[in-house]
Amino acid sequence: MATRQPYDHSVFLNIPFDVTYEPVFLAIIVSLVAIGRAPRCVLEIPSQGRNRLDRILQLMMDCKVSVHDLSRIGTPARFNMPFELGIAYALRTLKPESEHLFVILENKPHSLASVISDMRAYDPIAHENKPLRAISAVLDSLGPSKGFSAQEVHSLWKRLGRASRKLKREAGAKSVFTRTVFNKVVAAATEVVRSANTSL
Amino acid sequence: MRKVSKRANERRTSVARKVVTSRSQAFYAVPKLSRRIHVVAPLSADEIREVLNISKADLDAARRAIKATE
Repeated sequence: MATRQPYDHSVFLNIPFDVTYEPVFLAIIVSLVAIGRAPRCVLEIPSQGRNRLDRILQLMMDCKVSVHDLSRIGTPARFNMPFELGIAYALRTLKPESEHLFVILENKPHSLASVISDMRAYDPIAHENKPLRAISAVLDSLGPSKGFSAQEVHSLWKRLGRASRKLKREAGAKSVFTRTVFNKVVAAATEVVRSANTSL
Repeated sequence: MRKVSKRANERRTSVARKVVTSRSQAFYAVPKLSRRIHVVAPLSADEIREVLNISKADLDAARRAIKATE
């Protein structure tokens, strides 16, 4: 049965903080907002002296679903994303009442099979670093049967991309992976989706 | 029983083979019907902002950026 609790709607994003990943990141954010879910990321929480891993764990426990993008774990090896996927798996297994669910994204189809074959059973979805593919992946795994199409969300992504460039410039930031810009980008995503909903 | 010429028979077989081929291709080409793992009633944009504690200042800045880049 559908519920409207923040926990059920919150989706934790375990993604690479990499400037070249921004288009896919924005695509995931706008897709989640378009299907009425709240994208959560460690960026939103001020550190306040707390360990980053503690913040990640707490945030993941506040989210019913997590999205783990392992498309950039290649050379140089980056272990943060697989490590956080391990946390999600442990949460799901050791704390079954949380009913935690996760979606795994990869770059090319079956590319994870050789590096983390244990996760093959969870059907990673390949986005090939293409925003439209990432949008389809989110809609396919978490979207309702009705609602925005992938192409419609793709046009929202373009609007969000333009706005995010301006927000970065205003903040003097090189990427959206800062708390100030991230919060504004998510706010922009809600606004872009709201205006699309009202114009339907 | 109606006599069917060898040529006509070959043509019918060939059509049937094409149908079978396209069906099998469709079977392998179509991914899983649904990868959906979780469904909830969607939150509105306002509700999402509330969950994320988005401040009015951030929302105003976002609105200005959208308007300026339209």
